[in-house]
Amino acid sequence: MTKRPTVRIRMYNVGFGDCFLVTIPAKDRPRLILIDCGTHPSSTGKYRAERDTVPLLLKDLQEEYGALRLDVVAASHRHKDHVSGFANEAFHKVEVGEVWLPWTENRDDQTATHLRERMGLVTEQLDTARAAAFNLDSEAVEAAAAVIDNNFALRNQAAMDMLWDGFRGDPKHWYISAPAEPKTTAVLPGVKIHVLGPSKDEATIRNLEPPAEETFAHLAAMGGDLENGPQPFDEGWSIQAEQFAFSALRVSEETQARIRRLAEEDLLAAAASLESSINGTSLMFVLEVGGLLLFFPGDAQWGTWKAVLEDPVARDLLKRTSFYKIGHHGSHNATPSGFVDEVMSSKAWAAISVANVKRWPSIPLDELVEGIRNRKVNLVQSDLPPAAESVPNVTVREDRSVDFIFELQELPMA
Amino acid sequence: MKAQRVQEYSQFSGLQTDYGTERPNRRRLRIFALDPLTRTASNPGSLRVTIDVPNEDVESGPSGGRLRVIDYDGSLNRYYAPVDLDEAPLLMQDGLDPTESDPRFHQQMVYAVAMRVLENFERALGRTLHFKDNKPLEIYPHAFRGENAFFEPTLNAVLFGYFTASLTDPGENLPGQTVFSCLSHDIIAHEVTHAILYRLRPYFSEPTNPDVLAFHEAIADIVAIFQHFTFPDVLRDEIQTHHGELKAHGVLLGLAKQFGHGTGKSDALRSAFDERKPDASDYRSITEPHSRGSLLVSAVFDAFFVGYQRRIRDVVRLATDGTGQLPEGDLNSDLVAIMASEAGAAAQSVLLMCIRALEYLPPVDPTFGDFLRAIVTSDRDLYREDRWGMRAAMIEAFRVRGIYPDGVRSLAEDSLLWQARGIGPDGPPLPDAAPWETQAMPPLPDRDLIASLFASIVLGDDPEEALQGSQAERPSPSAEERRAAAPILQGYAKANARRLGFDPELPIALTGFHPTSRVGSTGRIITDVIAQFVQNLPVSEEESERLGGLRLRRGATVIFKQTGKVGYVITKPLHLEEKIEAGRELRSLAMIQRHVRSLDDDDDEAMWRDPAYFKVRMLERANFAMLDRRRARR
Repeated sequence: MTKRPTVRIRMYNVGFGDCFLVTIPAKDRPRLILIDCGTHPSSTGKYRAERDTVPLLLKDLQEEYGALRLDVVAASHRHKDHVSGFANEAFHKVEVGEVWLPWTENRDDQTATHLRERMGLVTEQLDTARAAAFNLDSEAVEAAAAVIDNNFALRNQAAMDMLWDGFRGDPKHWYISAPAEPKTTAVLPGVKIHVLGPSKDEATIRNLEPPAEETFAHLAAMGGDLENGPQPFDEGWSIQAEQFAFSALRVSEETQARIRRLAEEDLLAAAASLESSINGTSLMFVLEVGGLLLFFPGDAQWGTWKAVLEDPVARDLLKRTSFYKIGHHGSHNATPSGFVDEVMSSKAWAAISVANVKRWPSIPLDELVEGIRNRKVNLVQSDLPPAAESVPNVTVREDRSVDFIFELQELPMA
Repeated sequence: MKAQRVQEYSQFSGLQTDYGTERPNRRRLRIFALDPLTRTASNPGSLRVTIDVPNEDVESGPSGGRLRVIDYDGSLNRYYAPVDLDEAPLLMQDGLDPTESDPRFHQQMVYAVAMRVLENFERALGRTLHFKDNKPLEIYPHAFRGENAFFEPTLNAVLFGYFTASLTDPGENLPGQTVFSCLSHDIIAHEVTHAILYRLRPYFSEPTNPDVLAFHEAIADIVAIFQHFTFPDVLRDEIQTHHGELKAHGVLLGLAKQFGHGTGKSDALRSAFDERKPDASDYRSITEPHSRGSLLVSAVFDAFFVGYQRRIRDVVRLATDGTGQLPEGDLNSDLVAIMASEAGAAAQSVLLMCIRALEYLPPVDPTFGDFLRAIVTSDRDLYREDRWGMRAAMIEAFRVRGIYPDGVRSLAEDSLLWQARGIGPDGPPLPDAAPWETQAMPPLPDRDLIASLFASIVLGDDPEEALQGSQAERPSPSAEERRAAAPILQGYAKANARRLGFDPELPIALTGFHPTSRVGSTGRIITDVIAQFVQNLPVSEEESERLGGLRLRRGATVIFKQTGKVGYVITKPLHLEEKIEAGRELRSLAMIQRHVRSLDDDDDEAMWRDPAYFKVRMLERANFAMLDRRRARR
């Protein structure tokens, strides 16, 4: 009996981050797609993409396929937990056929360039405000600092440069925007790519626009040097709180505390909003190989999801899908409950790539995990892989990676 | 000084009035009309107006019986000098001259506008309002630096922020100018309305369906925008400028212009006039609370426009020799004055209509459809004949936006009225299959008690005092009468638990009751007692977390007539199982869970917060500070 050709999805353990290598069989040689390679700065996992995973990945390529070659590198969006690994210079040695990026990364696109610049600027301003005015001993501020860090484009530049022009082989760049007709490419014979996001319509672009600078300008003015900070009225209209004589008009301590907390919440909200803007640029696509459908949504947000769930064609594709990468490490806002309850196909496989970070106990969200399992979907978490050989079609390599194996009827044909 | 003067005067025993000791009814105070950016065609500078508010004893602050302005700046940890409105120079010239540079004027303006809002509510509700525990609502005009202003229920306080206008896109502000949210009439009215609505219906800040938070926002916007029509100068100017057409995108219908401009929006924050044609799918598709609230606001304004057109039709015909076509060029100033006064009257009547309806809502889980039924019922109680066709206009405006009350058979006025029946097959409340009780609700057994409650509001405990008191000081029932009434009302609910949609096995709380009196179109005084009952369902810790901290509550509002008969019952049953009857899904736990999940889907912040936050995320989403922050950002 001849063995049937198989598609393999390898989920590397990068901690709180994503790194997937998809191997697709072909007549001459297998084709390889790398989807994301990054670890969150706050990840507490044992391995980090840039330090541990890249060497392992390169070793795997060399040993299994005898060449440092990837047919496609897809980076879903420019967050560290998806791209930090590309800052590893070893990638210069890798020959790449095509690079897939969201349209927002196109340096020749004015709208995209504007958005990127704004996002970069906002991150820096937010970080400056945080450093100037807030103590790290508050939970909200600490969380905000971690979120801001993940968005730092400046400290992320090396990774983006690699994706733009660092690989060997002068790869073609495909800047993806939805909606688009299903696409094929010469580097992946027999593979059809269904693009679901990010959209480039005006409403989406408006949503991607990060918070206006003024929205948090006040954060920088909070705290810091109170005495010499900007005052809304001329000198002499106000006095220090301790000296105020009108006892009937004294502020309560609760009110004081509430006002202090307000600024911290504003900071976190601004950081979360920025994070979500960039998540909103995520690539979302389905790979179709010989009837097998594999779904990679990046960290797409509700805007992209909403459009997808309302589109009968996309819905139908997702109902027939065999492998779902779960967005944003299993947090609640990257996988709508309507998708889990109504669309996910039972008997399919799903993967959450995550490491528990103490500060974010709701990632992954228990309820989501439970919801997926209730749908009879086989769910694997990168930080809690099943025991080796315990599940058919899944191969576990200690705590380094998990392989999902899917059989095809025949070799995919171009 | 004063005592001596009283003594000196006492020698004139025949004096009919003593202006030295008798309190004037009203206090006049100057404010910026709308905000410092508001200009009209004939007023190129900032428009200032003088408004009058009920006069009361005020200390420095101003600090009165129900409002206390505290000018503490939390960002700087400083206090600003408080104003004393009773100082002679201020009494003589209607308070301080409007200016952005004197914090004491800011205090005066927040006080004046907040008092105006309070008065509007009291006039409509026919009773005096007190905030929780009889403590004044605290108002912080410069609480913090930031683009926000919000009501904080736990502090019983409204906090206003100030910020620096955009350097690159300040709109009509100077770049980098300080914008004070407390100088916006609309923001003050909006936030104070939140506070009052929270007082009237505390559970309306528990978002158990997509309408709840939107409703809070809508009422706050409605009060803020309709109050624009109480400024005659602005009104006349706008009518002249827009040739009698109020729908034009003008000063009157925009909300918080300066705030909108200051944040780089080059427009008012929101407008009552929706330029798009209303679409029946809007109600299904628009979910963000402020935008969804705007649907309700624009529906109410549609009804107002209809009323206004009807009111001016005759005078326009008179002025145009029967053609009804206004000529080109400026309008005759008498005509403008009449049109303005009709617009003002129409606005006031719609505003009162909306506020009165609040009493006719269930204590929990309101929907826009409930509000329509409440408007129709409460208005018909007072004005059976609907002279200007406002109810019909209101029903139509809701219909074209796809807002239908749940469980009514048609949109005819009769079908929309709340009923005096216990809930029937339309709203089965309980897990066990009890026979539906559809007969009329029995009257309250102890009618004397109701009569004494009424006597207390119509006459007051001290008839002398009641006759002197102004409307705002109408006495409320004494503590003693309240204590006597409570067990009787509670007993009523227990005896009729099923008919009110409650589980008879679980406790039922009387969460509020008060008599109310209003003058109907026939000149008769109409008095009702309105009681609210709430039943809490036990919830496991796990379920509570899944619901983001929401409690499961059933509720019923019962309106008793003077005779003790039941006028209306307005119930909110809650099923633990999903239930569909006659093609309609009944209110159930599953519905609430779905709503929680839909908000989770679109929340980009909750996951970064600490676990304690996640457990109460639904309550936090209703947190006004957070809501209004989102408004600023989107």
